[in-house]
Amino acid sequence: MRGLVWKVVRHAPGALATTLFVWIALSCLPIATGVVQQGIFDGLQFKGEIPHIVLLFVALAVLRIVQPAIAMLWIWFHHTVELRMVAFVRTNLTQWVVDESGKSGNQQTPIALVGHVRDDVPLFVDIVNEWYRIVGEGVFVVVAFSIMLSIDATITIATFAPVAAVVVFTHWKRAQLPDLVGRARDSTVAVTKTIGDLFAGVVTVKIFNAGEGALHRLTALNARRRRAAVSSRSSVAWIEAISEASIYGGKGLVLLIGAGAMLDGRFSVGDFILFSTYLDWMLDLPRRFGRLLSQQKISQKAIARLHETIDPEPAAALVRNRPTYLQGALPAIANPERGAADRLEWLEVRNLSFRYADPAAEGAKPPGLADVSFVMPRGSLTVVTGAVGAGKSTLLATILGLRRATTGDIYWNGTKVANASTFMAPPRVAYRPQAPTLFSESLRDNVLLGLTADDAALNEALRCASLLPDLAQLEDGIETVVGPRGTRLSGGQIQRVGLARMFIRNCQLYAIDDLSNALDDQTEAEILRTIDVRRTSGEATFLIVSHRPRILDSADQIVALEGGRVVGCGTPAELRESCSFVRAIMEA
Amino acid sequence: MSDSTAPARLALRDYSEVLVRYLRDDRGLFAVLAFMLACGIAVDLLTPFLAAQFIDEATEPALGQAPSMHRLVLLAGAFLAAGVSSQLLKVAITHLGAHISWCATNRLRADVVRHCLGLDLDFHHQHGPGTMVERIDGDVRRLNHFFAEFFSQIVGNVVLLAGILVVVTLVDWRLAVAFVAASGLALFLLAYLKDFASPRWARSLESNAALYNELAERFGGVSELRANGARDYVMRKFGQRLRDNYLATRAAATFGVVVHHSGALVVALGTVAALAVAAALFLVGSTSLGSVVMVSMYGAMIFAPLGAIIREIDDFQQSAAALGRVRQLLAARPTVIEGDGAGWESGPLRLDCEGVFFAYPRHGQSGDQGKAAMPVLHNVCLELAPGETLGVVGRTGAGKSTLMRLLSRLYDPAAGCIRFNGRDIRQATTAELRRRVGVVTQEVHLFDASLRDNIAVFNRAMPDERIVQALRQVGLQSWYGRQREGLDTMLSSDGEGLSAGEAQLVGVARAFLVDPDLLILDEPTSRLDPATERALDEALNHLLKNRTCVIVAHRLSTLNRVDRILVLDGGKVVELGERRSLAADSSSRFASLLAQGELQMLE
Repeated sequence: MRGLVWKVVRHAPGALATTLFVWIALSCLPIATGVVQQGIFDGLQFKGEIPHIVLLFVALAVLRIVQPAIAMLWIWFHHTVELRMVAFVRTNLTQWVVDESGKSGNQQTPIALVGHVRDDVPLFVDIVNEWYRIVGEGVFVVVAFSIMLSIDATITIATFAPVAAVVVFTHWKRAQLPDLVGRARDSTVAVTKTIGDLFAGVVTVKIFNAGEGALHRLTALNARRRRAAVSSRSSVAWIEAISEASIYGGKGLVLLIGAGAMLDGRFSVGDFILFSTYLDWMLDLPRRFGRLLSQQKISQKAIARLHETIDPEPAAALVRNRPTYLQGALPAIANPERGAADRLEWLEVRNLSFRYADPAAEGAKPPGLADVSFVMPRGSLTVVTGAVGAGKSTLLATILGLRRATTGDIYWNGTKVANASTFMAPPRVAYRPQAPTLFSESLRDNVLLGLTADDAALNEALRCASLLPDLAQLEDGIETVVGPRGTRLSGGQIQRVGLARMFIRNCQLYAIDDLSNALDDQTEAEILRTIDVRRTSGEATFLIVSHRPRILDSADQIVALEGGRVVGCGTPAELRESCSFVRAIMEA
Repeated sequence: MSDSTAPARLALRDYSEVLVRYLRDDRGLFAVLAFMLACGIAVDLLTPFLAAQFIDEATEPALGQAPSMHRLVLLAGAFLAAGVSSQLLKVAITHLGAHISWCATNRLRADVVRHCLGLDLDFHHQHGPGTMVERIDGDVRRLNHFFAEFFSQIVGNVVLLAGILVVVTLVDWRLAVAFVAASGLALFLLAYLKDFASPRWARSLESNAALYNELAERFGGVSELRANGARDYVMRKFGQRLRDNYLATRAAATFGVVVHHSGALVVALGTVAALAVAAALFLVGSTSLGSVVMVSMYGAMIFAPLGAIIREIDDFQQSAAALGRVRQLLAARPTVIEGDGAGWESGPLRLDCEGVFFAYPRHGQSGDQGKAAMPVLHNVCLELAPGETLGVVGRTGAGKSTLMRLLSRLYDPAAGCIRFNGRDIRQATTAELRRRVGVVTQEVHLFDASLRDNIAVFNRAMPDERIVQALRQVGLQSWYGRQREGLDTMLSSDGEGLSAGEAQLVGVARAFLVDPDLLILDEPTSRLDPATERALDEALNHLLKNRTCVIVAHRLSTLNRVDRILVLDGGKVVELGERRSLAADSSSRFASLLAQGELQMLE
């Protein structure tokens, strides 16, 4: 944990140092206030010079004005640093999701991942805040304590006793709090569950006239909840009250012990004012200490959750040094440039296997892949087919590097692909998943996804995806905002947006998962024609998951899967003979 | 929901009415709370006064006397005791305040639940259980503050402020002027600037939502984005959102602090001014040094109550919205209202329906629930002699279940009437009706409650022996024998530990305990396992005896028990007659339904 926190601190060392400095100034301001007030009261008690007293009053007024000014400065710096550190870890985590998530096959839901970004990251980073703030309060206590000691050592040490007692008590009491809070939460759940249950079964309640009996049960649960809530509330009040009481206790002790000294003239009224000002602020340190301890636990848990999320990546991936773009220009997006080596001559899949990392997930999930091999020459159409759960989508995902192959490799023109996840992407490969995702932005942005393309190219991609007629019907055409927060598109339209997204990338190999999903016959035929043109001209190669006879018929090669294994690989004519699954489809 | 929008402004009378009604039972405790609050304020006011006395005794004792050590120690001890007891009182006030609010809100919660359970089924179709939980528990919880803490915070702090002003005025009126001016200006600033901070907070919250929505969408399509080379695009968009969030949140937080500190600044400067006035008075000899200390200490006490008052006013607005919604709920009235008593003779009931029409109500915005497609009953007439058994058959959507709901008075007919023993069921009291009419619904709802409560349906007067007997009668005795905690075994509403068939048997067991004179039974359409089937047949042998029964039958074995058959189609009675003769008559609708296999379970 220390290493990770240190990396976070190192992300914004200058800003953190400034914040710390401002915080120390703010924490130590009461020292000056105490001294000035001491001067005022001593001036009054011992009939000092009037101009001197007036000057001190001016100083006091200035301190009163400076205090909120520094506080505002501090809060600005504080949020700057905190948000920058949070942004730093969030950027790392988001980058991990974008680059690596799902490769092991055990993917958390998007909502769960967002939850980690939203909640766990600030919980992790908060520990830095507690640390720097305890420094400020510590400096105040040290300085204030020395001043008080120099005034009267006996009284100082005597007044410190209650403060020390509070430190012990607060820790002891704090340790018991989570239990009370948990009990209050459980009893709340019992009540809400019962209310929901009664209304879910309202017909039964009515026909058995059971309202009063059910309320009796609710009343008992209500009472239990009241007791839990009240004791949880009281315990918080106790901690607060004990802290406050110890301040008064301290001040009372100053008077009690200082009475004699005051009569002797060794302890002035000004001294008393100074002591009581400092005591008001002294308790911040033990409070902070308690908070630091509990934050330590909270941060540790948050780090553990984050680490578990990115497993098997090391936790250090959360704090890799990278820019956060909170200021300055946002990163430019370069169009992918295709070199000579990127031209696809043939793609070979050799002994590709994938197994889910978590063996417990087996059974609930598709069986993975075992030892899949085939070759796709340039300009060919390979169709992957098989029953539900045969591993078709997994095969595509593994070839594209979205899943990390357990064994086996991909060869691009005979050269082994080292990192499929980055290599099997534009300008070489583009992909249309079974269920494309629309984002809440314009249709143009949805298709381009940051690509720079002229209108002609965009139009061509939309035409290939048979989207042009749909576009005419949309209110704002290509600028229409779609996705969850925009205009709803039909299932078939979403499929075709996915195709346009793929075609605009102008790649060598197109991987399409379930081409016909939600497409009507005519549209499917149109898209198949487009594919045929691109294929036969030798412009592109296609890898398509399908079990439509028409598509299987036009394939150069069919790969039939069952339970993650290849049970047939060859031309449609060959497989019609040798593979019962393919025969069943094609003769249907 | 459309009806959860902000209600009209409530009059002060509405608040006090609710306050009085729900605090009445705890008025003794409330008086104690008020007393403790008064003591707390007195002690808080006393503390600086004691300090002043101490200082005066130490620095300028009464003329011609030496300062008394004894008095000093006494004053210091009193100061210490006052400080500590003030904190003890605060704990007691918090505890008692929380206790009183929870008692009051628990009563209110129970009242709202009771009221809502009595509302029409139609209301419950519009508001699902989730909505009810939010409306009842969520809104009532928001009122928690309103009952006792509101009183202790607003009244307590106002009295404390007034007390400080009074004590300071007693020293010198010019001090009071500085205090009043400072508190007034601070109060104004806090209230005025608060409205400037809230749009900034709103913008910050919006930027939060935008950031997380963006991420949720991109994370959902991450493979597609990755395989199409859009990683940089995602990171750029994320960077933009993160930056917006950073700027908006920092601005909101900083501005929030400005509001707080400008109020505090005004009070602090006011205190400095008052202190200067006190110092001047001391220098000219018209007040003591102790009084100057006292002014300084009171000055430090002013700001916290001001802030608390502003916060409470804010909270009060939220409570008002919640209270408005709760009152709206309590204002909803059922249309199915109990009568004064039908006084039915004991023994099986005679049933007749005369020209019964029914349509489910439609709701403006929630009309998309498919209500329009629900069956309507159309001039349904039928008669059933005491002790006779009627089988109701018809296609899905013919109105069978609707007829059952009308007979069990979950709804009232739109026209026509339903009579038992010649008296309209609308005359009956709820207790009377439910005692005489037993209903077995098609789907049995299991409660998150003990087995006892599930069988007796929360009837605490039901003896355990009868519950066990009912379990035996429906053939659940061996299942019951396996429950380690017997009748105290907790069941769960998701039916865990009970098969669908066993749940059905629980429904029949409930009817046994009611021991009704009219039984309404809606058989499950799902297929049961053979063992449960046998148990159900056995149970029905007992259950159908000596009662008038109306059964929506799906199983041949059940249909074979009925005396008469009612065939419904499109909400109309198309056939009514003796089962045997209808079955024998091949031209009858009943016979053709049998032949078509429309009665799915008949085999």
